[in-house]
Order: sequence, then C-alpha cells, then structure tokens
Amino acid sequence: MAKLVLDSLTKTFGKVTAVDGLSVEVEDGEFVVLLGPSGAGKTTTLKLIAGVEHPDSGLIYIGDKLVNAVEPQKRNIAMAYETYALYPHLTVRDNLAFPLRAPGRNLSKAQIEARVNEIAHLLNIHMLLDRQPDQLSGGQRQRVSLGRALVRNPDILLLDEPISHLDAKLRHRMRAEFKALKSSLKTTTVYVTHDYLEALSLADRVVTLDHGKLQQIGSPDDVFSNPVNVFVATLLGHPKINLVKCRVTSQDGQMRFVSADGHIQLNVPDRIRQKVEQANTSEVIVGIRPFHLTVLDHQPEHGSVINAMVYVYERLGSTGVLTAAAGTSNLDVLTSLEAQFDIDTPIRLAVQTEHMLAFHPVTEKNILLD
Amino acid sequence: MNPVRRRLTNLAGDLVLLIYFIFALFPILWMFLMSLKRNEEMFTTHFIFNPTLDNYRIITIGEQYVSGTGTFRPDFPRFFLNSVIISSLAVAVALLVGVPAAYALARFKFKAKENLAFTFLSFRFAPEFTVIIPLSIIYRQLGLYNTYGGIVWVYQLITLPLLIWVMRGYFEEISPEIEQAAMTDGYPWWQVFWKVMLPLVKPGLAASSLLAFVFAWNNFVFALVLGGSDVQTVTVSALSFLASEQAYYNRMAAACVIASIPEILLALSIQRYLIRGLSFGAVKG
Repeated sequence: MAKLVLDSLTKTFGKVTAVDGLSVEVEDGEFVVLLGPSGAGKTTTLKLIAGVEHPDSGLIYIGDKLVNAVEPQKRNIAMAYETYALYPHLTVRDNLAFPLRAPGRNLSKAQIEARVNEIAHLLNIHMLLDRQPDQLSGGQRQRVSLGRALVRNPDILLLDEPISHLDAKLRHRMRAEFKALKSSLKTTTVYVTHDYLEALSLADRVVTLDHGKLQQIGSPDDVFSNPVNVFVATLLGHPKINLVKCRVTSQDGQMRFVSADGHIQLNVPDRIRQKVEQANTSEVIVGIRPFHLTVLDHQPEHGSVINAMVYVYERLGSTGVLTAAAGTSNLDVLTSLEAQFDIDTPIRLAVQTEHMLAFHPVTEKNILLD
Repeated sequence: MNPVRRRLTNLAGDLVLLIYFIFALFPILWMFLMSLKRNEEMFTTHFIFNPTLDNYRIITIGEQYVSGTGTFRPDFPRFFLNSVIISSLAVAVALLVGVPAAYALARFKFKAKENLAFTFLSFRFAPEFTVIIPLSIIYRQLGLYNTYGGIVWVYQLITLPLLIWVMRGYFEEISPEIEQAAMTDGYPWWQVFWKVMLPLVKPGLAASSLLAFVFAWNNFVFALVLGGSDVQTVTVSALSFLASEQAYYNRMAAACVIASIPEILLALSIQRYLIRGLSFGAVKG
C-alpha cells in the first residue's frame, strides 16, 4: 500500500519514444486505469514502475521513496504480464507459490499452501493446480498469471491487460470480481487496458495515453463527458463518438454548425456559442455521442433534425446500432432493439444539441473546456 | 495416394533407410568383429571365425608381451582414465565459461557482438594442423606441454564454439518477460538464472555438452602434439598398437570398442533431456 508518483518519465527504444514525459500521481489505495490503443506506451510504463526497464529520464517514487535505483526485487511490486510469462517448467501450484518462496519471505509451507488455495479458488483455477502451463487454455493461463500477481500483498499491483483474452462472459464476471477485490484489497493498482468498459467500470481515475504522451487524467465520468481532445473522445464509448467537421455560420442571429456538404445543420445552444466565440474559430469538429441521437417517427417540436438514409443496422444483443448516411458523413445512432430499419430508407434524426462537443479543427482540443 | 502406392512408397523408404543403416553401422560392426579376432586372422575378411577375448584381456590387464624392439606393457587403463579426466574437465570448463557467454550474447547489446559470436564459431573452422606448430612452441615455452591444464585449455577450441552457439539459441527462445517476472517476484539475478533459466535450457545443455564431450574425447591431433606420455589419451594410445614390426589391428579394435563405451553410455543417458518444446505454452503467441 503506497503512493506512486511518476515524474516526467521518458523511455525510448531506438527511434521509438514509448513513454514521453509522463507525470502521474497515484494515491495510496487508488485504482488507476491506463487507457490507450496499442503502442500507447502502457506496458512500457508498467515495466518502468516495476523496475525491469529503466527510464531515459524522469523519476519514480513509491511511498515517497525515490526508487529509480532500486532493483525490481526490492520494490515490493507485483505484475501480471499481458503475455502471461508463466514459468513453463513449474506446475500451476508452483507458479502461484513462486513469489511466496522468494528469499527473504519467510512463510511456512502451510501458509504458502493456504494462500495458493485461496487465490486458486478465487480465480476458479483450483482444479488446475497440478497442470503445467502448456496444458492450459489461454483464459486459464491468464488467470494463473493474475493469481501469481495477487498471491502476495504488494505495495503496488501492476496489471497488464489481465482479462483481455477471456471471452466476453468471463470478462464480465472478472470485472465484477475486480470490483470486489478492489474494496477488499485496497492495494494501489495500475491497470492497463485498451477496453474502455474496464476503465469506466473499475477506475477511480482514468489516465489516457497516446503514443506515450499523457492526454487526460480524471474520473471515468469526467473523461467520458468532458474529453480534453478528439483522441480521448473517440477512445471512450462504443459506438465511437460521431465527428463532423462543420463551418460556424449565423442565421437569424442564431449560431449554427453546418457540415461541409451542407447536409447537416445544427442549432448551437448558448453555452456552446459563448465558448465558440471565445475560441474565435470559423470551423469546429462537432462531436455527438450515438446516444444523443434519436430516430424520429413523428414531426419534432423544435431543435435540430438531420435527414439521413439508413446505411447499416446491427442488432447487438441489448441495443441496436444504426449507421445513417447524412450527406458525406456517417452517423452512428444507438437504438432500442424493437426498432426496425430497412437499408436505404430515409429517416430523421433528432440531435440533443445541448450535449454536443466542439473541438478546435487544428489542435483538436475541446473548446468547451476553457 | 492410393493404398498400394503408399505401401510401395513406404517400402522404398524403408529400403533406403536399411541401406543407410548398413552403411553407417557397418564400420562399427567390423571394428567389433576385428576386436575378437586372433592375430592369425587379423587380416582376413571372414565374418565367421573363432572369436577370442584375448585382445581385451591383453589391453586391460596389461599382460607384458615381447616384440622385436623390447618388452611392452600396454597401459590402456591409464590412458582411458586420462581421457575421462580430460574430456570431463574440458566440458566442465566449457560449461562454466560458455553458458554465461551464451547468455550475454542472447540478452545484452554491446559493440561488435556479432563479430565476437562469429569469432567463437570460427575456432572450429581452421583445421587443427594449421595452428598446431605455433601452439606447440607456445606450450613448451609456457610449460603447458604434457599437462592436464594445457590439454583442457586447448580443448576449449573444440568444446566452446558449439556450446556457445547452441546455448545462445536456447536462451534467445526464452521470453525476457519470464526473467522479468522472476525478478519482480523477488528473486536475485543469480537465482533467476539457476531456478528459471537453466531448467528451461536443459535440452540445449544436454545436447551441447554431449557433443562437446564427444568432440573432446575423440580429439587426436592436439592430444598427440601437445601431450606427452603423462596425459596420453585413449585416442593417441591407439597408435601404440601399431608396433614397429607388427600392426595389432585386433588390439587396436578392442581398444576402440572400449573407448567408445563412455560416449555411448553418455548419449543414452542424456536422451531423456533432449525433449523439445519445454517453453511452449508459457508465453502467449
């Protein structure tokens, strides 16, 4: 249990900068999720914290102690690797017990046995204890790797995509397990994933990374509702946020956003209008979340309406995803399952413009956040 | 492929294998037969003859025999022991030096790494005769002539290259993350090496040390030129059976049969370590 501070961490591999000036403070007991696409530098960051890679510059503090020069063995950190990194020559039981048998850790055989069984039952791998790693399925190996990280009580827990290779049902269950574990373990945790659902569900705070650079740190709500730029906005949410490049025009004293081909015309609420005027830009990238669009089956009272054609309709379990073509832009809309759509039929979409996001066309920063 | 065709193909394959089998093992069979022949039948090509164990008796128990140039006492057991000592030591030294070298070549980046690796391999390229004269001069000057240490040292030219190259390959096959995991689990680097890396490269160790032993055991030129009677190995001692007035091929054959026994035993015992795919499944992808 310790506070973790990263100060301007930089790590390059040859020509590639994996981590670029990353500064994050993780409070004692906090569960932080590093979110980003492949190549964002998430795994490298974990390895720097663990001490198995050394930063080119920057400082790492664990519990107020500078640990740059401290070897991984002494940092009291546990890590679950994305590639599992199980010991191939040991059984599952021995893999789980391995950290507990390290020099300096004076645990009795009985204690080790009890702890291994406890973790094995928690992760539902207790029937596999006598198997070797090459006799396990991918999901089972992942759970053994996770178990090996959990079996100690480290100061900091580092988890690198620990459930990414499990099937959807098991992932869902493991997310719930993690939430329960969170409250019982209270270990400072850094959890790496590319799946925004895990970030939203598990994180106390989300750290978003793009090519090694920090984009935004905030609570899940904050990062979702107030993304700091286009990258963060598209990172979270499925289907992805709809982005349309628009000109800022005026009509009858009302500010409007008009798409390049003129097909989409949106009335701009006051709150947004003020910010756009402040930003002094003639173009914006408009962001509309799919659940802020509704398909109309009757004439609307007021507000912005988009005329579109049905392009693709997918029914995905609990919701439907409709992709509608509005001029040259494709918009994704979340619908209920009961809805029926035929391809190439015209529809009308109502936009909740008060929830629109506006990004600067060049810097891609969220204009509304200044 | 229809069944008849397949059977014919299999049969043809078996035939080729049989021919090769005979080709490869015939010299050994011949040597064994030769070792059982009496002096009178030594130069014949009979497969059926009156066998005797005299040759074995003579070379092991060391019965004196008289020839035109004097009385000889074959000292075969001593030479055999020399071979055992020298070959074992040569392999031990090669392991001690070569395994860490292989690990360094596999894991670390440093200047001229590939040049160095190739240099190690190049020790095997040159025929021994090209270096034997300068080496013997140096050895005499350094006082290494006719010493166990000297022979073991020069044998590194034979044992190290293969060991380093094979072990390097095995180390490279292990994902670095397994080592990293062991380090974060709290193990110091030497325990990571001992408890995690070495068990995983066991097949490589078995194969390369066996080959290193065989190469060292079989060596003739270095042992002949750089070793005298104190360290004479079993390969060189085979020469002594070509006495000045008669070549005792049958005794030489007996010596060769006995000399090959350690190698055969070693190969058989190491077989269970030569299992492939020990690391499969531990690391994704």
